[in-house]
Amino acid sequence: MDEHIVVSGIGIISPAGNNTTAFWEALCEGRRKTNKITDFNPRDFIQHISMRHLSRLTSFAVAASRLAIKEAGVIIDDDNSRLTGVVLGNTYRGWSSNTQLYQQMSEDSLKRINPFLFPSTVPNSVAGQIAIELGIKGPNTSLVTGYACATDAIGYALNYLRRHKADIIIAGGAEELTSESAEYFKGVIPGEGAAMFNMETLENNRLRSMQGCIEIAGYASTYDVETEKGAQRAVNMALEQAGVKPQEVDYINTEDNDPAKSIIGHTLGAAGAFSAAVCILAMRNNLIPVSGKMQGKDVKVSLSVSSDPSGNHACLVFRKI
Amino acid sequence: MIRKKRVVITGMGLITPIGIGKDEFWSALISGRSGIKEINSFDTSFYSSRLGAEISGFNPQDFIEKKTTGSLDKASQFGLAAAKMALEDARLELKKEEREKAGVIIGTTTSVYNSCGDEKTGKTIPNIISGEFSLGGSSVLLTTSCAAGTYAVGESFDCIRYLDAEIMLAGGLDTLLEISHCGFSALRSLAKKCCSPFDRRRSGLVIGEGACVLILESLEHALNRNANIYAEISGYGLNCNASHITSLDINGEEAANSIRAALLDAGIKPKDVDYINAHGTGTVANDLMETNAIKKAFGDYAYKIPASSIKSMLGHSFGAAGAIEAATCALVIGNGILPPTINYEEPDPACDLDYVPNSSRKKEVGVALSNSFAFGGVNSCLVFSKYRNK
Repeated sequence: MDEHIVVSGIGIISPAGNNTTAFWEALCEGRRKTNKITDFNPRDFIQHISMRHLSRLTSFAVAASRLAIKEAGVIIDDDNSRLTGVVLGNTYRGWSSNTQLYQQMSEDSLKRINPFLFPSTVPNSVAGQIAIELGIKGPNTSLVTGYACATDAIGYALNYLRRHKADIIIAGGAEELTSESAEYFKGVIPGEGAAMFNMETLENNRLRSMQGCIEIAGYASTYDVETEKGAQRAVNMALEQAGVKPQEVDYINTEDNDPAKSIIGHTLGAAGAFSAAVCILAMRNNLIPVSGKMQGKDVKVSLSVSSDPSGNHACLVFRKI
Repeated sequence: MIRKKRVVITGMGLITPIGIGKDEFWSALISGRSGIKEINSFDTSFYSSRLGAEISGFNPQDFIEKKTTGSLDKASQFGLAAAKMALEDARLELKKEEREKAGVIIGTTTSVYNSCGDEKTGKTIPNIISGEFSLGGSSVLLTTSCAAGTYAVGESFDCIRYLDAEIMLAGGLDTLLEISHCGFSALRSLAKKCCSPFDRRRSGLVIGEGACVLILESLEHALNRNANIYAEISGYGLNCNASHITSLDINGEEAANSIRAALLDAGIKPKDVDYINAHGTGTVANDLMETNAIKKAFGDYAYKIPASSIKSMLGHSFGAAGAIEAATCALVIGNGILPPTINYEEPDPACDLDYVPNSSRKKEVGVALSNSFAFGGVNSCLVFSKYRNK
């Protein structure tokens, strides 16, 4: 690959805090936090879009996106808005706006629903609102691949950047916790939140500090109902694409060992983004989580592997520059 | 520099209100037959419009074994049946190593999960298709609403041309749901009497349903097995208005940019475009915006390119629309016939292009453009070309 793509900013809205530092500190402490976001005021983050009918899901995603570009020091204006994009992963499990709309339709005898609520139930309205809030006019994509969807969203963003469809992409995942979404969890504790990344070409980042930038060097996604086989194939393909040998990998974050899940719960469609955040923060801090404790290690290469029981698997390869 | 592969369409499966399978669909389409009627599946007396384009005569067991259909909802049945039809149409017998790399990308607005059977597995419709045909490539559901079918074809095209995929199943689907009718009724976007895109008296869209799956193949793979090639996919452009979730940017600037991006990607000059399959929903705003966008992207040449809206016959099938329109472009290129915009009676001075009014027209088409403009301000365009051995 002739083009290097980096993550230059992370934005996190989570039950463990609404910034990267608080999330990392919670990981280092290894203590279980709540799985519900209680301390969050959307107005602290959102400046332009209307707050009326804004679902929690949308407000998490928009807030995390704003934090990501802020950490990267990116300013989106007329010069770069058309070369900036959004890719979002979300599972639509028990989305509150949708539930509300169905309720209105079934309860109102004349089937009148709120015309302002309806548009926010269209699945890509979350990515659309991010674009409107931040003035982003490039590619705008939303996808569903179960627990793997934020990993796939970051992978799609990587591909868009490599293919010169954009110079900057805000990508990641978001999920809100509702009574409906909780129903889909058997044996895991669901959580909520959003983790978004400011991704860009290294060339685009050249006038800003490279401190904290981590390269995304490979991505692959597969389908197999046999989790081990599907995940293994995704890992092999992503490593090959990155030109990384298996023995060069210093840290792997998987569905089973992801410390984010034990701190904030399984965030469904956002889980892959929190897994990616753990990888990047581990590389920035030279610390890796090992059975609940942090251990010093120079992490040059890390992998984030996401798998959904329905058969979707995706892998990202991160590398220090 | 990345070596780009050429990508061709070699199979298609369609389930539409005017016909099931490509032959039935195409003959109805060029004879201008409408699939729009009063809605049967729910009580429409509360709404401003009773019209919809429903699918009739679809028997899932014509395509899928009975033991499988029982656990599938209607949308999943559509998806699986369209995929099966497309694979048969392409006469594709996949070897084990080919299956492992073949992926599925489906676009939808409302049909995210199969809502029947064992819900615990939470399978999306592409998952069901990947599982049924033992395909091991990525299995992605795109939810870019009314442009989702176009996105699915575009992303699949990119998976083959840039990555190591050789075969992709790309498509879109949606079923006609009361919630969509109710929502568009609340937005006052529904047509009262008929769907008449670009006509001065147009009053809105009609909701529809459908499914379409295309087989996309690298040219090399298609030639090696002597496949029938419908058309080549040459370009894909996408962007976003970033202005409002539902309101359109009437001057069409960003929509024009997505047309320009697709043409640039294809390396095709505006004056080489012979046909446009318009988004043409029939709402006052969309059709004006799209007309403006075409004029911006093509200049004076816009008046020379026929641009028709098949939504005049099919209604708006949301996630399915872009995929059905991609199939239409491929069939237009193969047959040299343009489908009409029906119900066109009174010209609108603000919409003054050639919309192929009311009856189909013979024309050799070397290059066709398909437009999709969706909720969230999302725009995407695809460019198709006649396959030539360059």
